[in-house]
Amino acid sequence: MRIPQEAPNRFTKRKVIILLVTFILLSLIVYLYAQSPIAKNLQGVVQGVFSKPKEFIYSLRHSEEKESDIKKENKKLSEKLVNYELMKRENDALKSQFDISSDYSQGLVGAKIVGFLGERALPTAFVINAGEDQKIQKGMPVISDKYLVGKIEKVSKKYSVVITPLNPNFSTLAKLPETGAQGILVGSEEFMVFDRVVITDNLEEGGIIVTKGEVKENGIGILPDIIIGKIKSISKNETSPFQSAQVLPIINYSRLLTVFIITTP
Amino acid sequence: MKLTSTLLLAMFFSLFFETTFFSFPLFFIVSLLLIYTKRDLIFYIAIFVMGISLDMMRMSPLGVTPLCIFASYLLLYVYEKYFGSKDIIVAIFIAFFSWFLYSYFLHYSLHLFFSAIVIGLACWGAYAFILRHRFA
Repeated sequence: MRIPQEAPNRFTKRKVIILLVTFILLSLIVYLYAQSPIAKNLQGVVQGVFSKPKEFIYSLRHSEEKESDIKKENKKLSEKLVNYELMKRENDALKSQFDISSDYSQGLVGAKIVGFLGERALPTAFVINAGEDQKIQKGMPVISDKYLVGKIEKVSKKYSVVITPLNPNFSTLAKLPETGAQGILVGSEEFMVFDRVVITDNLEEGGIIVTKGEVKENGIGILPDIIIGKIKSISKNETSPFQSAQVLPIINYSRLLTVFIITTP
Repeated sequence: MKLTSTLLLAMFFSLFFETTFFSFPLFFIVSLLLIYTKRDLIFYIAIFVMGISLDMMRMSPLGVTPLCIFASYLLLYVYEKYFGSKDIIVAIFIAFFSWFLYSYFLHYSLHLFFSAIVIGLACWGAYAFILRHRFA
């Protein structure tokens, strides 16, 4: 569909192009100076103003799931199974007197989810209303109940971005307590992959994967024994030194409203 | 004036609802339509300020939303003015391509096939409506 040509107005043409180039340059300047104190403070003010409305709007669509009794029972049993396996190993370690149980003293900061990135049903990241003002730092784990929601990826004055285990940029050391199999858990958009598991280790379908723990010297990092998900299927090739498994999350990320960040005290 | 106020309202609406209620780049499309129909400085400033606010709230790199919007429109404007053509197909293609890159790099929900059809039809309909409105 074509329209009749207007008589070109050189002044208007030039004016519009100058205006557009000016705003593009302004945007570039803002982009380059995004980490300056002025930009950060302004960001904090804007985030503070919009925090409550966004919290409310998020809760409209993402109401906390009223679980059926069977689902609740299933979750409780999964948690009991993990606890049993962990206590058994700790008992064995204490008996042998060769293992050292680590004692992490941590704090907990509660936060509301105010946004998400990726698909609504399987979000790859959340935006939460806790940031530098609440002493949040990059790398801190985020949990809901006994389940891993993700880890802090980006922090600003009042908001932070949490990447979920479904995010392709997420990876953590993980283990299967029932058999002692260890590997790396990485995200893959719609599911997780428990990868680099030695071929001689046993993996079981339905097994609960938990974090192995990777806490740095400053106390920041994912703590051990937090539930991540359940094995759905196993991929094993006898000629390969490693095997992997597809892991699905146990909790429904799209139904979360409140999460907790494990901080250093 | 009705179209302008509708677009401004949609832009303000998307500040709250984008990435909170839905993961769709509504602000980008509405802003592109607004600066295409109204070349007033006030609207350029509004898009700039609201774009940066949106970046602050979705924790994306500051300035990336207005940068993408103005760069897309500059491309469209230069093509129309210097090649002397107002071919609707090219306009839709530029809008669609800009939208796709913006959605992909800022991790919006990408059900590509379905979204492409919806956006393509929406651009076609909006562009046809604007042309009829402008030259009525």
